[in-house]
Amino acid sequence: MSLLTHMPLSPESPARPVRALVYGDVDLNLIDGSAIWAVSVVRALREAGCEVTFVLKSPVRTDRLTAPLAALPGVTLRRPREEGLTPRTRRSRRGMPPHVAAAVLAGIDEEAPHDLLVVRGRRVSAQLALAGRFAGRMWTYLTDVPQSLGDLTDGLRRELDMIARASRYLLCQTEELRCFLEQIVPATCGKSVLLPPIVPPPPPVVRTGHPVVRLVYTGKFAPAWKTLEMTGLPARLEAAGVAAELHMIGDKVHEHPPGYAREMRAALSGTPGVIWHGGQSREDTMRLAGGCDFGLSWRDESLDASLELSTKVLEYGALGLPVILNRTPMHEALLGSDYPLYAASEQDVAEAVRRATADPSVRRLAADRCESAARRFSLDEAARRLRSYLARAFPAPVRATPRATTAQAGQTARAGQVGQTAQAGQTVQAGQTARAAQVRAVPEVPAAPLKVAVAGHDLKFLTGVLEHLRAVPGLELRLDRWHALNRHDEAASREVRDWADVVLCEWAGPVAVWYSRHKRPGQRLLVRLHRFELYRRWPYQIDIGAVDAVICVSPHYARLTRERTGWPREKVVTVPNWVDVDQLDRPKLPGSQYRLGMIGIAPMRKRLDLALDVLAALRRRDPRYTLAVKSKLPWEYPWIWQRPEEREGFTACFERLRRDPLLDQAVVFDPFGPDVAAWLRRVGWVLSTSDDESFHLAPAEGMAAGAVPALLPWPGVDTIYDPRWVHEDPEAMAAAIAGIVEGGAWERESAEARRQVRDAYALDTVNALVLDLLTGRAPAPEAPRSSARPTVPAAS
Amino acid sequence: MKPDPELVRLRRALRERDGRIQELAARLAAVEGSVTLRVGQTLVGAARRPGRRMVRLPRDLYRLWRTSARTDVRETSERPAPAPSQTEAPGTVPSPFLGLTEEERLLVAPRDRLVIAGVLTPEAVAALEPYAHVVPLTPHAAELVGDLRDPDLVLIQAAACTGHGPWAHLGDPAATDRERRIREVIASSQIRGRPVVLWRDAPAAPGLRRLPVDEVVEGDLGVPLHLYNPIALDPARSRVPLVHTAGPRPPEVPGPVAHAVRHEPARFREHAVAVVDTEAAALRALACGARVVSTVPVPGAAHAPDAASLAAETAAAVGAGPRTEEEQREVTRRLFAEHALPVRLAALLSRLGLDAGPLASRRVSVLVTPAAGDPRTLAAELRAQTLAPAEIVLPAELGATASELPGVPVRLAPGGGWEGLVAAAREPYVVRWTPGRGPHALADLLCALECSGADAIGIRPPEAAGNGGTANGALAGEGLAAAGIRAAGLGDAGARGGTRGPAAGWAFGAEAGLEPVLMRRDLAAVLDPAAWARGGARLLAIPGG
Repeated sequence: MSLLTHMPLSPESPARPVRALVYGDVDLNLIDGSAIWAVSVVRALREAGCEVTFVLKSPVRTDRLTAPLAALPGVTLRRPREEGLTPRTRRSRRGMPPHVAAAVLAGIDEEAPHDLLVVRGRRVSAQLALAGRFAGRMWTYLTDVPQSLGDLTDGLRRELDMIARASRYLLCQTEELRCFLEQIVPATCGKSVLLPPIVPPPPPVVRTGHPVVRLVYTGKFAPAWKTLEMTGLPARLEAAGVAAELHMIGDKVHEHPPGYAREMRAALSGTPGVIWHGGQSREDTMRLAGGCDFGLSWRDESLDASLELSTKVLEYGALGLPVILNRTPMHEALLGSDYPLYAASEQDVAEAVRRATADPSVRRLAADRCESAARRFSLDEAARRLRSYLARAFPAPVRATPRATTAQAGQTARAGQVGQTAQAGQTVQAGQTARAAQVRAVPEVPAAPLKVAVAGHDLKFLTGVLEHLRAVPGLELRLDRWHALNRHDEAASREVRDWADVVLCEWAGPVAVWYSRHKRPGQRLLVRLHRFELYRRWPYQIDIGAVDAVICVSPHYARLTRERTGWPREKVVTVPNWVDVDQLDRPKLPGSQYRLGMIGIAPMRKRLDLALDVLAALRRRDPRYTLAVKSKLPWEYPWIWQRPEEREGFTACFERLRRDPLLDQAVVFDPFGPDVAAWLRRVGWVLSTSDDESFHLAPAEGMAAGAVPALLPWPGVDTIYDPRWVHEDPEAMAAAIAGIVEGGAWERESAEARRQVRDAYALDTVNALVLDLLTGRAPAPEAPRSSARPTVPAAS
Repeated sequence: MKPDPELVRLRRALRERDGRIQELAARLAAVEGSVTLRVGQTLVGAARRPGRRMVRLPRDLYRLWRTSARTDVRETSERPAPAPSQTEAPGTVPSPFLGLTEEERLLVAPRDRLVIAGVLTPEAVAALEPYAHVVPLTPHAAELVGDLRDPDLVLIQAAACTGHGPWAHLGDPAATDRERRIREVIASSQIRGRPVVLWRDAPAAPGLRRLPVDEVVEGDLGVPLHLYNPIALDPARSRVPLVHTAGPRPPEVPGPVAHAVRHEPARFREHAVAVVDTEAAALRALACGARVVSTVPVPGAAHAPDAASLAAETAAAVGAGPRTEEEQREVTRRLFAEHALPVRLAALLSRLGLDAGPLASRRVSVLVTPAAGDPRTLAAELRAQTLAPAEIVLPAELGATASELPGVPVRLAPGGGWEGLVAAAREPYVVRWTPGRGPHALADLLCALECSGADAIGIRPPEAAGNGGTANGALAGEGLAAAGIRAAGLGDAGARGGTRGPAAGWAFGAEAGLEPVLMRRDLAAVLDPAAWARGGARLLAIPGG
């Protein structure tokens, strides 16, 4: 994703920056993690180019955090209580309850509409979602969510679903939280993005030498945080010959279980070697911690499965402290599996300190790892992420198209778009001199918003495009949803026909037939043909003279379409399917190079049987290979299961799975659903073993997720995918997979796959092509090219 | 004033009618809320609108049944007492299992072995198979298979949740879909009163700990001696240490080493020295005759918690050479008694209140012949056994000895002679008891049986103990099938016909002079090892001791 080089523009007026409203269910009079978060997000949004209005939950009693914010240009602080915005009966030192906050935010937005609302807190987010005013504008940061399935109730799920539907983005602190949310609330899929912790730079710390080893802990005192056990460390270390003292900073002592608070306070104040500093300002906390040698973040194992990353670990790292903490997958991803200071018990903690004290290189390595990790969570990095999210949420406005007779018009129109479409092979390309002569004059788009209608019975393949079109300034979008392939409300369709400047028919079926026969003069009509339509009667019923462009998803199908229909060559263009590369680009789970994947196995032409052949061949070499299938099962499609040949084919596959010892426990059928991005993390190879496909999106999605594609030579495959991924038969495919894995080259291939799909089929690229077609700027298609020349460029 | 009879009659009729109305109202409410009605509605609905509804029918019915079961469990305390007319026959408990009652299930699904279903590695399945009927679950069919097979125990093995199997990454938020599946299995099992155990034998995703299991078992479930054992070890096996790694940082051993990650019996058997970092690997290496150096404390292994001691202990182990036969016997005895899989599994089942007898394979009938010597000595020897027999069968003339054998069932053979003793025995394996056996005799025999799965165990005469006294010394030059090894990856050549020359250590084969001591009861009638071998029976020879 390219960085914005300009301020994100508001959808309402290209002349002004995006207005961001920020609210957190946090009290900025308490300097804790959530307060630091709120302040950091305000700063990051400002760095990303937004004008920020920050609404405070509580009256200001101490301005340590608010005063620096108020002084920033482009940041406005709103104090509802001081400004009299809160109802008198609801005033409280604890701040606004959620429903009052929702009303206050609505009022502020009424005064001056904002483009987005960043909100932290599940309860206030639910209130806002329920009220509906901010629907589609919420950027919701959820931390107080259930951490496991066991904590998830139906009520919570419904609430999260409501929040997700009202949100433009769900801002997730960690990848773990994002994957979990996507798998429990499908509505979060496609809109969950990462906003990791932001670690403000620490204040300057003066390090002085000291004769004893200093350990430091900052935070709450609670059983699961092992703070009582920590007080035993100085004595334990002394017994091991290491003089040490433990500095404890904080004043929140948990009351449960009974007796704990008394015991904890006694340990804090009465244990030799333990120095309790009580509650301190953030600056003083950092200063004290910076003067120590080790940071402690060792906790009870019950917290190992937390979906959140402790900001404390990063703050220690920013101070240059090595941290002693639990070994968890999250920490291993942060610091490395060979990080030397993991601990699972008090004894481990003491041993880690002893070892790192005895060997300075161990301490140095640990400190370097922690400091390096902390740098990845900087304000600049947060601002960069937010810019990318802003760019997607607020795309550049559509501009009127001048009469174009030369390639220069196309080049000008492309300025500011992602410039990599020129590498998209046989798809519509921009600004190539060789094609200049083919550019035709197109009607000038009026200065008024371009009215675009999308019609069809199944729009699932356009969701990313539709989302973009809804956000593009200067464009209005309406949908004509047909009830079924051949059933619609004709009056509604006529109304849409009368309203729209441009109509895009999704599927070259009855919807295209109808609109071609009812096209309004001056209107632009586009038809998107997938595959199956070509083998039915509808293309021959379409009035092609009324159609301005037929969009095919691959060069192969564009050629087939021309051959079968005889339609004018210049009317049949190729725009590939889109892949949301940013959403799918996630780290792989360990062992994924041994896991094959298939997305969609029905109907039988997808050739599950051949995929089983590949798997069997691999498992003869290495039993670690498995196949994950994400699909509905064939009997869930009545129109498939009632066909004898389909039933017979699938039954044979499932019987084979039951009887072949080579495939025992080797195939898992995962449920169909939108959580493809999380699912692909476990998959290292995506197979395409079909007899025939128009595009086959699954391998491309897999590539975006770092899964190497493996395809059989169905017709046209080499016009879409790099021939290096195409194999002659299942045995050859298996041999290639094994060769790459055994040769240690899987990671390299994975990286290449990611690069290729990002270059060719990224959502931004396809959106730009579609927009060009809608506005009539697309030049005529180039001459058909050899199928030997791939659309996705081969690696150089 | 005397009541009007007609009025009395009418009032009685009214009361009866009110009562009837209340009864009918209660029954109507029960019917409307019943699963039966909903099943009927589902069936009718599917018939009226075939297509998608028909396809969903089996699943809908299944879900109705499951919902009914869970509702029954949750709402039992809240449910009002049924009207008398709805009371079921006393003693009949409705069961969620396919609609059958508990009593009907007993008729429909007899079983002779424990049924364990679960999330298991192939190695664990192989290890458990002699002791239970094992049903590995796959995520997409877990709940269905669990309900159909109705396991006695559900086992979730942490090692199966890492790596590459069908449940890989269970417990990681990226595999929440898998966690949803296993939670359904857990809920279903617990509804039926079947325990669910998390077996934490390997580092796995921390989310596993949040599963609502009934018990957590830490560490190894015990070494499966039928897979890892000292049968026919090659005395010339490599002295290059085998470093077996499970943790994130392998032990650093100086000098040439071999590496292994997975538990493979063949690899362990190839090396006389093993350096390990887990209890599981240590036990398996010990069982395969290795001298073991371990970074974690394990009985029988040299503990080396740091680099310096690791180097020193490894050098010492290499220098010491292979274990003697006596040393290995001690190691194997301890493993058999304390760390073998059936022992630990039996302890777990006992804690869970299950009576499934994984130690049933260790039950043997001791047959005492009249020539067994002085009865008092005989009794003392039997009482001293570290592994008690399941029963002792005495000839009638030694009946008085029974009083000297408290705590052990004693049976008297009514008929005379060896055949009579065999006929009276109840256990599948019998031991021919002769005097002069040490306190570990039965344990050693049953240990050899557990390791080999042989049909008979014979004791090699002391003068044929092999070459130079080294443990499991050189096999006879024929060296081959007598090494009928049952460990995974190595073929079991089985017994061969005819007698063979003397071998050493544990080895398959009918050797000359072999004294059959433990045998299958059906073989015991005729004590002829050569005949057994010709009939295909497998005979394991062990040294006397």
